[in-house]
Amino acid sequence: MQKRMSVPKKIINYIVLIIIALVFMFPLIWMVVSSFKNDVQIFTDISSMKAFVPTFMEDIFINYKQVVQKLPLLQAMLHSFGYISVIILISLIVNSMAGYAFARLKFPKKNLIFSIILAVMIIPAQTVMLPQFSIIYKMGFTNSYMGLILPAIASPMYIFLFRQQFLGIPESIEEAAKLDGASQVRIFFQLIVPLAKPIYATVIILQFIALWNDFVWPVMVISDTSKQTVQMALSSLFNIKPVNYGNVMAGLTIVTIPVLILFLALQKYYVAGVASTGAKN
Amino acid sequence: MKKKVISALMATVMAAGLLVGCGGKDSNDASSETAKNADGSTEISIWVHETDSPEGQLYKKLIDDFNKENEGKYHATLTQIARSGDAGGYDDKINAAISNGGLPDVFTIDGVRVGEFADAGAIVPLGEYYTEDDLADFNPSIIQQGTYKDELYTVGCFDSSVGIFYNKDMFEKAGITPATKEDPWTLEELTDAAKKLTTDDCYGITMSLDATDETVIYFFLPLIQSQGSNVIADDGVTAKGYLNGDAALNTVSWIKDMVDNGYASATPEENSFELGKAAMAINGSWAPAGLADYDINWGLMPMAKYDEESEAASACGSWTFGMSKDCPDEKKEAAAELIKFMTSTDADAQMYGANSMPPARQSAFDQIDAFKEAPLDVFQYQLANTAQARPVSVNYAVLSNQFATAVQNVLTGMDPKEALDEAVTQYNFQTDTE
Amino acid sequence: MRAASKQKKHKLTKENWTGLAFIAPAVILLFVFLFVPFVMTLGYSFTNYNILKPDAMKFVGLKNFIKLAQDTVFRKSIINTFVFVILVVPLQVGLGLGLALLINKKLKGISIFRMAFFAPTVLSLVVVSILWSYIYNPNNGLLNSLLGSVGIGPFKFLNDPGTAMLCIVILSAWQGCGFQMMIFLSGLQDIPAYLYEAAAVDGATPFQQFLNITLPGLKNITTFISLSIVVSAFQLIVQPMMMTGGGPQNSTMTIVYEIYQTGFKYNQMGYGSAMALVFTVMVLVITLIQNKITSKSNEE
Repeated sequence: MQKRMSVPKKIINYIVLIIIALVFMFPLIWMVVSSFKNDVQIFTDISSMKAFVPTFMEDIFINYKQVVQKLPLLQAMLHSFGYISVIILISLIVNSMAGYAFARLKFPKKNLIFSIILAVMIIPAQTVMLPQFSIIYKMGFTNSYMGLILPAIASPMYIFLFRQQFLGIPESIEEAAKLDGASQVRIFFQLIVPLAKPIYATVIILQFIALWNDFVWPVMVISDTSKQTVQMALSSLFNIKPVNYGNVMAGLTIVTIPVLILFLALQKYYVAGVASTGAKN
Repeated sequence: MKKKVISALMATVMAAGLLVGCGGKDSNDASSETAKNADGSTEISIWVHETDSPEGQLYKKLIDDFNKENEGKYHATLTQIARSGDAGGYDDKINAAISNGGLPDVFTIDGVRVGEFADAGAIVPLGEYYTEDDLADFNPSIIQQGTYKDELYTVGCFDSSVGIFYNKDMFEKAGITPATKEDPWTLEELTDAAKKLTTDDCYGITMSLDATDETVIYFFLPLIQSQGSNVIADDGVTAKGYLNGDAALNTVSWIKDMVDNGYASATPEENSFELGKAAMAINGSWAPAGLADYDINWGLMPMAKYDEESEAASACGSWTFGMSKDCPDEKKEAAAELIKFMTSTDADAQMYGANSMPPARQSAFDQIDAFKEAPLDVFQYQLANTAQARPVSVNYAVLSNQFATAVQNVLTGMDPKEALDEAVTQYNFQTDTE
Repeated sequence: MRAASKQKKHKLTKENWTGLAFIAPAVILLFVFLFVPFVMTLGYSFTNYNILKPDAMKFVGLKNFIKLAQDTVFRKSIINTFVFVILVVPLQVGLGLGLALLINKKLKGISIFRMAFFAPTVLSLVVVSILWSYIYNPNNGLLNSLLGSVGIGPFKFLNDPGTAMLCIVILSAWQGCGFQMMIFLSGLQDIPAYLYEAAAVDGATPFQQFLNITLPGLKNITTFISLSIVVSAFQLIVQPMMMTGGGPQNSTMTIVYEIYQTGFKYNQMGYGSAMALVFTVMVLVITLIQNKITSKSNEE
């Protein structure tokens, strides 16, 4: 059905994509390039395009070696990865089930409950941090990953997102299954979830990034340095005066890599044919 | 299978919900419960604000040393808490511990927050644990910084200082003789020098004027103190007539003139002094460690004073140790011993090796050669003779913020007098002061 | 309708039970970790709660709200926040949709480009803000040297009360639109391909296809995106905190920044909570109106 794109059209496409990509990529490029420089070079180059051109030092990876030596960064990344995986796994189930119920199922006070959930979405994290901590404290979850996991599972934002996505799935698909006598639980897990893979992939990415970059809450909950998370470990780099920016850039590059890997790993859920969108130009 | 997962999940959630329901009022935390360890030693807890930095590692070593030295008598358990640049994280954790219980026996406090903590009764006085001779060894400003309403609450194990760094080659070329540590320049002399040194691609001086935080008051308060005034009255509350007084106005106007004349930039580039794009820099005692990387021939002068009539004044201050209100009576002696250990001459001297900050004690200065000769002798001289602490006030955070805002407003076009008056209005409003 | 649901009250159907079971875990967790803390915060707004003196907390009635009515900086921060929301929301939605359409193609290496567009969101806002303050530096920032090379400028950017908020808007839209792109992308996957095929057979131009198929197909997702951006835009804090400290001349002071500063820097949790209460009511009213409008247009 679909025509192959003509060669000139393809080239134009690529040129446009590359230009836009550069506009969005430059901080990452700057970060990675700077991680191979020392501070003198970083600040000499900062005002010109040289900021994006690597100048290799004798020992190319010196910043990386120093960072890994100074900080238990790899260990902290493992900690973060561990507790975040648990959160995301549960969050996907909990939030998507709620989203599905709000989109499809009938139950009393549905609209009222949904409105309240939308309303709590507004609450800025800063305003509830202290009482939130009191609750965690009373539950006895301070200095434990439970204190990081429990409050992070349910999210009004993701419930809302799942609901909107499920609303878009034609109801006819479920009707057939219902007639066959399938239970709601089965319909949801066997029919709906597979259809909605892209949104699950999206929530994984969004939530992973939010939690990976979280700093204040982990500091409040975790006291034991042997349990510290990525951003806790990284923070030392900014506190050693004068700040060694070469080290900072190397540290940031290291902690960004897992996010990029995750992003690439989830790409297959976004594969779309030209035919499925029609937006050909 | 999936049902099982769900029901297990539900059970967990329900259990969590129940816990909150029955939580009720909480008794104060572990710190106060068991006073003695198995070996008969008194157990004390301590929180510090540094983790994996060299300073953080030194705290760990010092605690180990303390425990070895006091085996069977005292035992300290260290908790190291991460913080962002402005102490976010660490502060939040302290706040949470104050409202929920669980405050350790000893914790570090940023020197400028001593007023707040002392006023709130979150820390208790330390004066009785130090001998007078011992206190006399500390830099006078360390005692000043830790004293609230005539009681000593905290003591630090390092200090800081601010001076004027200068490019020796540029000074030579322009024929300028730098000030000596005993005889700082007046603002007029500083302005003249900056004027001579300013060229098309080089500012006379860089003063971190893009800062919007604590840096502003830390750098420029000495110029107000030099005129015998301050940004707040001695009562620690009244800002009217001080924050917008003549001394503050003179200082802010001078900053504005420096920028208007092009001698200093309101938005300096990062490291412009290091890169040779500014001939002088007002900067702190942490700067030399970074300067070593750059190809620059630098010297250090003391902070300028206002004019010939005025006295020299300089900045100071650091993190300090305080004893918490939750430290039970039977542990106070042990906690005091720990604080004394952490602020001893020995600890102080080691700290220089970790964070290259000047010591809080004169006896520790004596052990470090770097401070006996130029350029760093300036810091030692200032801390012994001219340093004045920032106001120890319960309203310090508001005060500092309003001063920084005023300076920023002036640099973006507001009239100095108007900006300072506005700062006082806001200060009074925020703190409910008349 | 009313009567029907009332009848059901005594006898919940199996579907009712399933629905309640499906939402139960989320609702319980939200109740414990968000709703209860929030109600506590609201309670503080009628007290003089100082964060360092929890024991001295006492009820002060409406005192905080009376003070709030006279707070000129808070008034300014409300205006600033609205300006930010009004500017950033359309920009970010537009960029997000534009990028999603651009990237939703079968081309070799497209996933690399997708990652490139998403790149700014990978770094924390703190890091991105610090980086952009270098870029915006009036003396030697990258932006001025770029603009200078085509003969524009120099500008003072963050240092001019007139342009500071605009600079934050641009940075925020640039940083955040990758998220919206991802969500739009997952919405685009759900539009059935046969619709486009049929339209192509009927001779519809790509633009007509976009108007008549893509946009309606993204309806639900767009509701989410616009509402969620409005909510997160109202919560602006990191960028001004890192880049301007709320200045110059309070031009970038925002409500949540003010709440944070009052509660955690000035220790006045009671007064800060009063701000939070006013803020929440305000945003709630706006989102309710917005939701009404969008759900109405959805029904049509």
